[in-house]
Parts: sequence; structure tokens; C-alpha cells
Amino acid sequence: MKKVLSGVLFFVILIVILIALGFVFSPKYLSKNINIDKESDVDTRLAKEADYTLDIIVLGDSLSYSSISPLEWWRDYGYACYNFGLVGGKLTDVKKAYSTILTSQKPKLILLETHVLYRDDSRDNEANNIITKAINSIFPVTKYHENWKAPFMDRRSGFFKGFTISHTIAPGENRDYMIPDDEEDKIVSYNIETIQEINELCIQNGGELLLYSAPSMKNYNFARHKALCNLAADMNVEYVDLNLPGDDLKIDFTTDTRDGGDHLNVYGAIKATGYIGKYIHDNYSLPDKRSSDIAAQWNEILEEYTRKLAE
Amino acid sequence: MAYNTNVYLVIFLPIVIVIYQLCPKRYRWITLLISSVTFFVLISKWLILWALLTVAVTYTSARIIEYVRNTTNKYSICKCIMLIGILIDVAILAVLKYSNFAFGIIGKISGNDFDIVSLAVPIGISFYTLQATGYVLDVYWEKIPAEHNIMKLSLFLLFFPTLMEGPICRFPDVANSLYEGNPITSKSLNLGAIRIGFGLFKRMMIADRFNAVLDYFYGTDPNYKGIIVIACAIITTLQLYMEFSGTIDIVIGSALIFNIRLPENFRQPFMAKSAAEFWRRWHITLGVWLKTYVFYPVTTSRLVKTWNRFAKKRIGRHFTKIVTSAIALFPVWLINGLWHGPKITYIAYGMYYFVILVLEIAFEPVGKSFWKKVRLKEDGFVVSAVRLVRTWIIIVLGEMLFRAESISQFIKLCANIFTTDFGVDVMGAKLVDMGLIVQDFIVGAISIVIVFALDVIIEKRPDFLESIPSLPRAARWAIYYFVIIVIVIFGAYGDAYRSVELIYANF
Repeated sequence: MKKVLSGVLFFVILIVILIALGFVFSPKYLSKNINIDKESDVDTRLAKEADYTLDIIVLGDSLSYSSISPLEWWRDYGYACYNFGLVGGKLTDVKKAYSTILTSQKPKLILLETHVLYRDDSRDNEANNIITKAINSIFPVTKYHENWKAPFMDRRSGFFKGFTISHTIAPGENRDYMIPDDEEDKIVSYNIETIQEINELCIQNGGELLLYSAPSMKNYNFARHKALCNLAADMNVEYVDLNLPGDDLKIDFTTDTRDGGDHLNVYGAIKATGYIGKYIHDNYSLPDKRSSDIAAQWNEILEEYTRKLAE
Repeated sequence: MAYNTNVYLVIFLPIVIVIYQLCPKRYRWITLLISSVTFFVLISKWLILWALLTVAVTYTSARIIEYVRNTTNKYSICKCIMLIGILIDVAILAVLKYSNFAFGIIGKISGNDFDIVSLAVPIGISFYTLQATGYVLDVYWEKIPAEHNIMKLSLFLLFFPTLMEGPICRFPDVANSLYEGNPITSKSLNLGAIRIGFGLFKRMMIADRFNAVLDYFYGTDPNYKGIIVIACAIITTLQLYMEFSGTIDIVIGSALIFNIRLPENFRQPFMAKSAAEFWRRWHITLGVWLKTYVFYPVTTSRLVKTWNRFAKKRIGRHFTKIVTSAIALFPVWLINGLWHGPKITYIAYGMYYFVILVLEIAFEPVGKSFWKKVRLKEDGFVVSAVRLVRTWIIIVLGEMLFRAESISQFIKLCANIFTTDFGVDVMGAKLVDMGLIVQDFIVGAISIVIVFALDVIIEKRPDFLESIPSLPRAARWAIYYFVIIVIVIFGAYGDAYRSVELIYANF
């Protein structure tokens, strides 16, 4: 009996400590006490945006946050966009992130970078996500623990509405890149189910899904292009592939990539953002918020972004 | 359902613990069997049929060997059945895991492209097949009697903690504790939890933290040079050690909760002073398996004995030893490489150690006379330090080959070490992208120091971790809280990190 009581006491103390830590690490507490500006956690990023102000969100993995710079659109069209790309994100992670975003935002356009469809995922991951979510809600410290880095983050490190500026140039070469052939690189059925669920979630919340493939020599080829075209047709959503050579978009992998053709650097991202921005402007009706309440704050960040670009 | 996931640690394992404890003692092993089958099915679904086929073949061949020996004493028939049993077990493994690889090579050589159907591979096939063949050989060599209950044999082969990454168990080492059904006690819970905590610390503080760096390093063209290649090669080695030994800690801890003691798979491998010693400390159970079932049979074979007698008189004792060792080590390291998977780099990895071990044997007298000439004691600090560093270089290069996408990538990376354009800027930009900041590396480095400090203590006091539950309550709880809180706050998990997959689960 003594052992049982001792065990109970151990866990009670542990629970109290974990709950207390959850309070200390929460974005609300930290944002009052420390200037947190570079975050990878979706909640932490959301906490800095005024509720129901974002009209466009970008989802995906590293190819998304290296290809779309939201402040370019703010400057050119007044679109309030945030890039929620996740480090190494899988499609179930993206779905989870979108559900979280919906708690305080109602974006009209959901731009999803398609490379996540080719990341290995499984039901096991979903089961794990459910348990993780439960643990996170009981012990928020497990959700916000990464905020231990907050005091070390430099506000001028270059994190602008989810986009990171990288001036690095590391040319890439891939002779087979986007050479037409008959093959189709099929997407696993589980990822197809998940993207359909995301699409339904978009529709239910008054949003529209737009698929796009960021230019990447390493991750895209014609077989994937075909599979993604077919998927978009089946789902009845729009799809823009920035890997196809076009008159308006000229990605040069000798200057526009930071890591040998895997991800774009800032020069490539500006081209890709400009191309998609024009596509959105021509095909969607989204509000220009440059004279709204959020304009002052966004313009301040735009100024810093412009300064950083020139460095 | 990897061992480091919430599904396993928060749901599966606690449910099994509760059901096991509530069951009457004599049925507890059945609880473990049902749990193991459930675990297998959750991961590999209908592919369990392949595992059950291996169980059936192993059980039948062992029973027939025992029956024939007891009734007729005809050893040639026993040998024949042993060979058939092992051949079928190995054939299942070969067809499922290696056929694509073999046809690919044949296609390249012949210039024909075969239209190969990719076969799904059941989880842990390499591990349970080795256990099955070892078991049949042990029965054939009369080291153990055949198990008469096929359900019990199934539990031995498919025991859920060992299924994905081993350790590769030998039947006499674990059978009794598997079937005894000993109750879970506060001591066993404590011991198991400590091992699991230590394993999670290794994985979440170190292996998972550096995963993104290595994924990127090996996933792109090998443009990195100089110090970056060296740093990533060292991180590769550390990550592999922390991932594999960390998972084994979770596995051993899970079994300890049920009072089942599994064999250790690691014994402070970075304290080895030679490649041979390293392999007596790294993946110990694979080494023991290969020594028992490949190395010894080859060295005691008639052919090798004849060669020994013939050669000693003609080429001397030392050269005979070198050739004999090479004959015995070649199949050991070829199997070691192949066992890791159908990939040229794994075979090259096996051959890499084969060459190094033969060279170690060949140059042993030269080394001894050198240290004598320079008047340094072989067990002294300087010689030990030189040997230690030499072994680290061998290990790090080996692990880089193991992890490389191809031989050409490995060669290019090795060549790049000696260039001066370090590519630090590109890597630095990438690390920032991946959310890794300097403090991440500091946390990782401190964690590595903690693990190695514990390794040094465990080297001197192997029962160190087991002594923690005997500490006064305040000290014990302080350790528990410290480990849990450090992992919760500084662990590399959540949206910002990608957990490293169980590397050995694919083997």
C-alpha cells in the first residue's frame, strides 16, 4: 500500500510540474515576456496573427516555405497571406496544421505544395497524431516545448510571415528533369484520401484549395507532373506546376537554388511567388487589405523585409 | 508502431502490462503471444502469414530432427532435414527481400530490364529468420531439445519487443523467462522504465535532433566539403549509435517490465581499441550469431583443418592464421553486409570490415614490434589513445559508407574531405532553414557527453542502471524528474522535428 501511495505521489508531482511548465512555455505567456519571432510551431505562428485576418495560407513541407514569400503579395496586391510550411511535414501533419489554423483564421485560398503527397505516410501516423493531440491538450508543454529556443532567436533573423530569406546560391544539375515520358509516379492511396479530406475541410470552411508544385530539380519529374494533373482533375481543383518551362516563369537552377536544385533561394522564390501571385490575381477575387486595420503592422514587417532583401 | 511512438508507449505497452498482470501465471505467456501477433498485424497486416510459415517450417524441422535422432540415430537424415528447414527459412527471406535486388543485378549484367513485381516484406523478417535458423542448428547440434509447443516457439520468434530491431536472441537464453509468467513487480517496472527512459533520452535528445541534418546531407548531391563532411560523418555515427542503442534500451526495458531479460546488444562500442573489439561491443547479438553459426562451423570444417595442417609447415604459423581467418571471416562479413539489406553499400560495408579485420590480424606482429621499438607499453596511455582514435576513424568511415546512398556518393564524400572549399555557408543556411540553431547543437553535445559519461560508468559498473531503484527516494525521484523534464522540454519532437525512423527495422 505504501508503494502504491508513493507511486501516486510521484505522478501527482510530475503532473503538477508538467502543467506548470505548459503555462511557462505557452506562446501567450512568452510573447508577453520574450520577443519570439522565428517559430516552427503552427500555434506559435498563429498567436502572432490577429484573428480572422489571413485570406491566403500556404501549406506543405520545406518546398512551400522556400518558394512563396507572402510579403511580396502584400506589397503587390495587398493579400494577407501566411506560409505555414512545416519542416519535413507529411500530409497528415499538414491536415493537422490546417485544422489548427481554422481555430482562429478562415482563409479563402489554401495553397498546398504537392511534394507532401510523395512523402511516405500511413494510418499509424494518424493514430499517433490523435494520441499526440490528446497529450498536447493535457500537457501543453509537449506542444510548446520548442519555445525554449525563444530567448535565443534573433528578431532580425529573417522570418517573414513564414518565409525565410536565403541569399545562398548552390547551382544544381539534373539532366532528366521534366523530360516528358509515359510513366506516372502514382501517389499512395492513403495520401489521396488525406488530400481529399483536406479538400472537404476547405469547402466546409469556405475555402478553395489550389495545388502547386514548387520548382525543384530534385523532387519533381514528368511522371509526378502527370500523376498530380490527374489527381487535380479527379478532385476538381486547380493545379499549377512551376516546374514546367513557361514564358512567364524562368527559373535558372544555376542562380535560383540554394542547395543544388532541391529548394529555391530568395531569387527563385521571388520569381515563383510573382508567377503564382499573378495567377491568383487573374483567377481569384481576394481582398486588398492595404488600407485595413492590419496594414500598419504588415507594412512595418514589409519594410524590414525589404531592408533584409537588399542586404 | 515504432517503439518510440506514443502509440506504443502510451497505448500498446500499458495495455499489455495490465492484461499480463491480470492473467493467471500459467496463461501469461499466451498474453505475450497474442500481443506479439497483434503488434505484428498492426504493422504488417496479412504479411504475418509469411512469419507463421517460418514458424511452421522451423517447428516441423526441429521436431523431425529430434524424432529421427531419438528413434533411428541416423545423423545423415537429421542433417538433411536441418538443411531443408534452414533453406526454406532462408529462401522465404531471400525471395521477399532480395529477389528485386538480384534480378536488378542480373538485368544490369545481361542488359535486359526485368519487369519485377515489388514484394511487401514483413516486419523484422531478418531478425526472426536468424533466430529461426539458429534454433534449428541448436536442436541439430543437440544443444537444446526441440520445443514441443508451436505456440511457445511462435512467441520466441515473434516476441513483440524484439521484432523490429532485435536483439537477436538464442532460444536457451530467453525461453525460460518468456514462458515463466513472472509477475510484474515495482522493481521490474522501475528497471524497465529506467531503461526505456535512457533509450528515449538517446533517441529524442540526440538521434532525432540531428536527423534533418543527415537527411539533407545524404539526400542531396554530395557538394559538401572538408570539415562539413567530417562533421556529418561523425554525426552519422553518433546518430546511428544513439538510434539503435536507444531503441534497444526501450526494447530491453519493455521486456524487463515482464521480468524477461534479453541479451545486451551494445557494450560501450566507442571504447574499443580495434575493429575486432568494436564488433564485440556493437550489435553484439548479430556478432554472436555469426560467430556461432558461421565462423565456428567454417573454422572447424574439414577443409580448413586440412589447410591448417598443410600450410603451417610451408608458409608458417602467422601467414596460415591470416589465410584461415580470411577464409572464415569472408562468409561472416558477406552475410553481415547482405543481412543489412539488398543494397550495394551494405555489401561494401561488410567487405570494408572484412578487409580491416584481416589487416588487423596481418599487422598485429608489426604493431607489437613497433611499440616495443619506440619503448611504449602496449597497455599504456599513448598506445591506447592511438588505438582508440584509429578505431574511431575506422568506425566513422564505415558508418558513412553504411549510410551513403551509393558507393559513388561515399567515394565523392571521402574525396571531398581533402578539399578546402568547405561549403559552410550552404550548410549553415540549410541548418537555419531546418530550424536548428546553435543552442540545438549545444543541447545535442551536452546530451552526448551525458550518454558517454554514463557509458564510462556502466563500463566499470555494468549494473549501474539497475542500482538506481535502490537509491534513497529523494535521489531516485530527482533522477526520474530530471530525465523526464529534460526530454519533455529539450527533446527533438513535435512539428519542428522529424523523428528518425527505426533504422534497423528495415533490415
